Amino acid sequence: MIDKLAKAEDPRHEQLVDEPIVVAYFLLALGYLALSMLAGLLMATQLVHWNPLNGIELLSPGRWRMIHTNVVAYGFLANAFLGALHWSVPRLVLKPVLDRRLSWFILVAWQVVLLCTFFGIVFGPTLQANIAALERLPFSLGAQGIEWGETPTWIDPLALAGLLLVAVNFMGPIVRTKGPMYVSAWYFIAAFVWTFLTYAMGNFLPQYWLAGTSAGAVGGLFIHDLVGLFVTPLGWGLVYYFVPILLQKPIWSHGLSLVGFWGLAFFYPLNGIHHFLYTPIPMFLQYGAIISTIAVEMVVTTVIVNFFATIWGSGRQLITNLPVRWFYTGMVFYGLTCLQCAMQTTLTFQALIHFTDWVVGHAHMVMFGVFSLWLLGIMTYLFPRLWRTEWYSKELLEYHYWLSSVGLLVMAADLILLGPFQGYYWASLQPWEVSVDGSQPFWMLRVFAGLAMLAGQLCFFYNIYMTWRRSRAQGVPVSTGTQQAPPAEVAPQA
Amino acid sequence: MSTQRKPFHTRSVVVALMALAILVPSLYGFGTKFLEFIALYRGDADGAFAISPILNYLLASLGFLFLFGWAVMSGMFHDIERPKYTMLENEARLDHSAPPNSRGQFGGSLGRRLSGEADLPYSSRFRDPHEHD
Repeated sequence: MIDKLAKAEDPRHEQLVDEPIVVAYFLLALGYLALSMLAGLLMATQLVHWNPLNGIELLSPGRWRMIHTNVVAYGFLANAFLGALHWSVPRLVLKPVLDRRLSWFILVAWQVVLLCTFFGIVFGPTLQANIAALERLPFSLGAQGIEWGETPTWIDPLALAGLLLVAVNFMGPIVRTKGPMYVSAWYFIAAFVWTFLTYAMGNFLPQYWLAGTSAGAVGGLFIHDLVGLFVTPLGWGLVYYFVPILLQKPIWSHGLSLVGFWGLAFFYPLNGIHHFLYTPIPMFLQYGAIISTIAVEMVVTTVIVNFFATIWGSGRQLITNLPVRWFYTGMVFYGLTCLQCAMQTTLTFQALIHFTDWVVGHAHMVMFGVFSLWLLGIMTYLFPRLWRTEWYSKELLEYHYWLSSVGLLVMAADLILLGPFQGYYWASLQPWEVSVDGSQPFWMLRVFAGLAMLAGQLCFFYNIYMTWRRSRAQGVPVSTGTQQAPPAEVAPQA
Repeated sequence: MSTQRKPFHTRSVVVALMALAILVPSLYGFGTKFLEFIALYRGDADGAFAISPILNYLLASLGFLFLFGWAVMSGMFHDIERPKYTMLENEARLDHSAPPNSRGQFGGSLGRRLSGEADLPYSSRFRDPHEHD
């Protein structure tokens, strides 16, 4: 009777999902997460004068700060998103990616881009200063002078080509889907188009065509579009996919989810200049960015309301179902960060917190508190499915969750609280050193919060290793995405 | 799975109210500012600054405006709640055909639900009994 429900033409999971590439992306992502967190720790110890590597040029915190931000965006988030997409897109549209070999080529090419970025940022300036042949090059081997776009200029074309291939590989199956699309597919389509355009805009326009405040304005757009048009649509697309599956009930209102999606599509792209309020960029542009930011924050409330209406009546899952807890913790942080964003883009608020650690706290809450938590939740859910075995230790999973989320909460609260202190120090026109001294207790607490988050990840890494060993001991097979369904198991039409 | 839901018309009203309360003022504020940008570009000496954000916005959004028009014309929103059931139905089919040890440990696998509800069509198992669309 059960078999009658499956149609003969239904694809099977093994035909759709290339599981080894999902695992490979996740493990690479976690490796980059560790590297990024170590780089962040280096910067944090520098600020409290505890840097044990002081004086070593190649490990200077200025360079490793760029490693911290770039590796978390392009190393951890991008790889983890790609892994999750290789699971979710084929299952969502019931078609495999365009070409499995292209998927593996992209995986390798993207790691080349990341390694070149790492090499360029850490070694580029030193090599170019010491080797005469390299000094004469018409471009810098080191970081590009654009925030979040420090990827060296010589690797930008390859990175852009990689993003195009990613779009082609995933859009192929999505556009061949018949009938109304689920909201995740809309978000994924948007992300593939926007990420390509955003990367091109942010890395090429200020480098080759624009200068001065115009370049600054585009830089502002790039910083924020990177979060809002690359990370946000992929993150929401995945959460809209995984949460109903985990809760085993549909999203509360698909119509409301589409209101959120189209609102994001039309209001987001002008936001970025709010990063440069009170700068020489004309005020009418700054006002425009403020208005559109507040419009987006209002749209975001539809998404949050929708997810909390979905879990209504299933609240116990927040205790018993760890991936669900990861997702909803991320949503709480998302709500907080969007509320914070709507406030901090007003000129009144900016006058106090501009250039302070408030912004750093906000950035950590967005990148780790929201999107990293979601991705860690996805990994917590998928590793047992990918390796056909239960987690080695549920206790370590709990440690991972609590150390990550509480560590992030402490770090973000600490830095956000520090912001007004710094703002008032500067507004009172006291010497700069006074504000630095006043920041020390906050910065020390930040080091310990970061160590807690790092400890949480170490628990996760050990748990993954032991789970993998257990799966190897059991000798379970994995799907490579190429298997044909055995004819005997294909049920006849009901 | 819980199938006890509020009647669908309540949900429709909530969605419509949220859409109106959020989209109308947002659209008004955003649209007014965008028109100001265009006016500045035409009439102000510093108006050249407005070109890059306008172009950036049009580049990112015009395509989506066409996509939205295409989606409306091709009936993507006729049965607007249907895709959320289709997605879960597809997941159930895929999990049902997967080996038992590949369904994870967090209850996310929908395939096992088939065993108790095998005689029902897929949509009956996920659809809100009060929902009419």
